[in-house]
Amino acid sequence: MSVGVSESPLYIEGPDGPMFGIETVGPDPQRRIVFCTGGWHGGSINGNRMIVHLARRLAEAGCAVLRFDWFGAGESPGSLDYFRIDRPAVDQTEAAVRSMEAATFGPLSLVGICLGSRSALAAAPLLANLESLILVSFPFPTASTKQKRAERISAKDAVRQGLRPSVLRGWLEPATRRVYIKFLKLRWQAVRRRFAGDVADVEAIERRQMKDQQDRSALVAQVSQLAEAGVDVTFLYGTGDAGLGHFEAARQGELDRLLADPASPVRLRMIDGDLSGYSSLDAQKALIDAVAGWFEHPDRA
Amino acid sequence: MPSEAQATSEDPATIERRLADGWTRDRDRRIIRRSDGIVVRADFIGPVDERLFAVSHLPARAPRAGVVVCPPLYAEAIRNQRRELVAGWELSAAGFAVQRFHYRGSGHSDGETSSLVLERLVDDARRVARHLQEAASVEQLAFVGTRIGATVAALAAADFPDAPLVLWAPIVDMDAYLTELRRARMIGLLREGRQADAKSTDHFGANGHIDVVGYPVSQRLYESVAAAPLEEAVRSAGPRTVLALQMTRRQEVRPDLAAVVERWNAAGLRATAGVVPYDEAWWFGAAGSSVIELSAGGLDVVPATVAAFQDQLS
Repeated sequence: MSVGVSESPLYIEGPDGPMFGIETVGPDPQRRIVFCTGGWHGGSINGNRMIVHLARRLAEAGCAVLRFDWFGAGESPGSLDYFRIDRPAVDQTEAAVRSMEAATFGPLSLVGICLGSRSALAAAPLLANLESLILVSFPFPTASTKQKRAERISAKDAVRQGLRPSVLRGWLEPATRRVYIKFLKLRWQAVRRRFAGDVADVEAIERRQMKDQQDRSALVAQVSQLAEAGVDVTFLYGTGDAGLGHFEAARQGELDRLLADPASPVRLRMIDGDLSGYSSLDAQKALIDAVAGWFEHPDRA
Repeated sequence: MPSEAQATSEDPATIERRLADGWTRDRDRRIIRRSDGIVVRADFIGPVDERLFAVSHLPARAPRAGVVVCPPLYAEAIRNQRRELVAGWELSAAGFAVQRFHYRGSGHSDGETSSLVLERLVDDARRVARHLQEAASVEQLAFVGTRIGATVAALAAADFPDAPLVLWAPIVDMDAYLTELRRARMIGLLREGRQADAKSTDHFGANGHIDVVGYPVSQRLYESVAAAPLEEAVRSAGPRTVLALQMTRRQEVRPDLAAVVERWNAAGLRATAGVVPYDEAWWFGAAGSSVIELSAGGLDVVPATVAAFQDQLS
């Protein structure tokens, strides 16, 4: 680390109990950045230490940076039994931001990654002096999208795709295997509905699709309100992100208008590769450059 | 010590429940568990640019001995983090002072990932062991190591006669480990749709590393670990108690591990092997069904480790 950058581990007073974090502070910090990490996996370190590298680079650029572990994850005590994607950890995000006030009161930015970006967006309206939000691989609601795919695929295509070597290899890997099993269950339900005409199931799907639509609209409305308040919002996706399709579905309408308007502070930045899963070294470097570059160059607009 | 069968376990559900125990924060860097008074403190130790991120877990009373926890590397370190944390809590509740850490070039510690090489990992483990002896006022030590960390633990323990060793999912055969890396790399590339790259056999390229699902596994590290096989590392550490815990769904100890344990015993060590019935997807994350399991599966290694040290260290 450069001269003048200090790094301190700490425990933040969280709503459910202490949360572990590390504050990295550059010389004479002018702004605060809080990383809201993705779920339980990777935490404040993240894959290949991405957040560690980013925090140190941003501190060298004159920022006070906090990376922390959600309650029940990483180095934080507690259990994750409260955890649900549709219940963002707003209180925990607020507590993390509060803990930074001793370092500086400068403008605040939140960088949310995957599930953490939901919490960052939900907490944003409650935070004073918020300058910007960077939402990496922001997960828009997905339930009905998966359902649709399972319904639309023909039996012939399903078999053909299922016999691909890459898919067969996927069965060796537990996480991928779970996705396949979930898909097969959805497919089986679709077939059963087609032949048995299960009205209850059809209604359940329609309800889920409507709920997804409402949730997407609510999330876009939050972005729109932040934009009106002058907060910069940047969506960052990898070209190989699983959630990119859901973003494309969500951007129809208001979000598309915001992204197209040159005066709007809402932007989309694409990076080659996968940012949401097992990102390659090249994709990691591009992500670090994109996020650090955003703060390092004042003429970013 | 558990015999050559399934490792002993008091009650994994008890440990899961204790994840939810209440904690208080008494200072910025310390937290205390209300139920038993154990103290957890996070810190950096060592000189600037060589700092190790270290977390100590201390019992409420004077510790009976110290335990150094040597983590694995890369994605495996993240997969093991929660197990090590819980081991820290449970061992300190049983009266041990525990020191966990990240090697230089890994986790929150200083240094670049490209600098990882076995000798430096062992140096770091020794440094941490001496720090623990001084900070917790303990003479007697024990070591826990996972995967490559098991080899590190064995080599570091050589400086501490009689220090018992518990090895979690140790890498007995480096060739098998390399095959595992290749498989993980291939799955990662296929997921990205880079089928042509996945077929490539040139694993360590001109830059001296391979990209295994986003981690630069270096040839230098691989060769340094391959040159110090676990079997030899443990044998050269000298007579002591060793418990090797295999983490797999299959209930029988693998023949290669059983054979190594037998040879350790023939060389004068007191070695046993146990099985923790949990299939860890070391490079690809969670294999569990509940959120708690996703974050901390395979917790059976913890009571087995506590029991082993309670037997050996008074």
